[in-house]
Amino acid sequence: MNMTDSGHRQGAPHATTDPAGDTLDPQRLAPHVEQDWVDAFILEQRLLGIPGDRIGDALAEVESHVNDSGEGALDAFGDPVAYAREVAAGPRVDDDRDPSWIFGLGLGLAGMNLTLFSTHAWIDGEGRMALTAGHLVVLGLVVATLALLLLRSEAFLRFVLQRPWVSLGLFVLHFSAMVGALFLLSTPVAHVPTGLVGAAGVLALAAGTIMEWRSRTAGQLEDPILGPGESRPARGGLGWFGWLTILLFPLITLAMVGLSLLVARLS
Amino acid sequence: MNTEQWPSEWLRGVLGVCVLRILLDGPSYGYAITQRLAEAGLGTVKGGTLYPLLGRLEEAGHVEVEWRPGDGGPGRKYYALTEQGRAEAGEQSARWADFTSTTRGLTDAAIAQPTGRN
Repeated sequence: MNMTDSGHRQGAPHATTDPAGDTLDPQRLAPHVEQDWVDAFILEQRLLGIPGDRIGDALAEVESHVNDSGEGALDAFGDPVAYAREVAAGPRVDDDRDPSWIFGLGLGLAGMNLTLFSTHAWIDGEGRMALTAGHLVVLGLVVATLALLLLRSEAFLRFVLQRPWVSLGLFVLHFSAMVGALFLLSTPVAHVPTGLVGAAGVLALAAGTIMEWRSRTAGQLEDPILGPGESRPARGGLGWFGWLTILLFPLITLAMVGLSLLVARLS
Repeated sequence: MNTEQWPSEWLRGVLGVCVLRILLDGPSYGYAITQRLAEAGLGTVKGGTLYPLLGRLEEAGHVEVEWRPGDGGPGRKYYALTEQGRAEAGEQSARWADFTSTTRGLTDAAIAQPTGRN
């Protein structure tokens, strides 16, 4: 714990910092507050993009008040969602978070598909690949989804949380539309050299992996809920799981290319 | 001491200047401020009303905050007036005095009037 990390903040109601860093239970900051209230408060503040240290500070203050007054949080602070919105003034996390992780995801997905399409065309001995209307539809759907996630992430997440079954239905529909487009819209709109598609795929994979690595090592997606005076747990190395997530698309692509070559050799 | 609960819209209007006035006596924390407000006769002010107000005072630069460790229990977040906050407390208190004089100039006459038509 750090007692002087921000000038006017000293001391801590709870100085519990888990060295593992990823298992910090926010309830530790408010042990006398109803669990449901804490959960709903945190969810709303997260959706509003409030940084973890400010969420922790607000929770510690609620704890301090209910501990002093003997009231329940619902009595003293009312509805947790309304209170979370009331105390949401100030900068949001998105203000200083760079979107490299989402571009990494998009490039990884695109790179994987381009590499696999070109591998299959190369195995079939096609020097030039047909670019179909289905390919363009898939590209459009992927770009639209990523744009939605990037530009309207709060609305997107609220919708998924409030209507999980409708969201699942839409996800299935989205996936079916992509598969359907690939099979049904097979009219070629252009012919592209297979080598060029493969090179673009490998480049996209490399660029996506670098972006994911950058996002991971900068700790962009880590925002633990910290109590007053608590400092961010030290981040260890990436670990095997961290590397696996960064290298996910290149590894899947390699496995699929290997499988395709094996099948081609055996048949 | 009047312990009745005042209309909430009146409290919303006067709470800011009352909290600034309480903080003129020295740094204090949320629950202690609610106690002072109750002792002053303003009734029970809920945490859900007080803390967002304190947050706005902090945003405006009128108060600074400091967490102090508690005795065995959780710590407490103390609010202390800044120089700007002291000036604001004096200014708002003076304006509130003018405001209440003005409203009383209008409403006091109604106190002596018989109520109802019968």
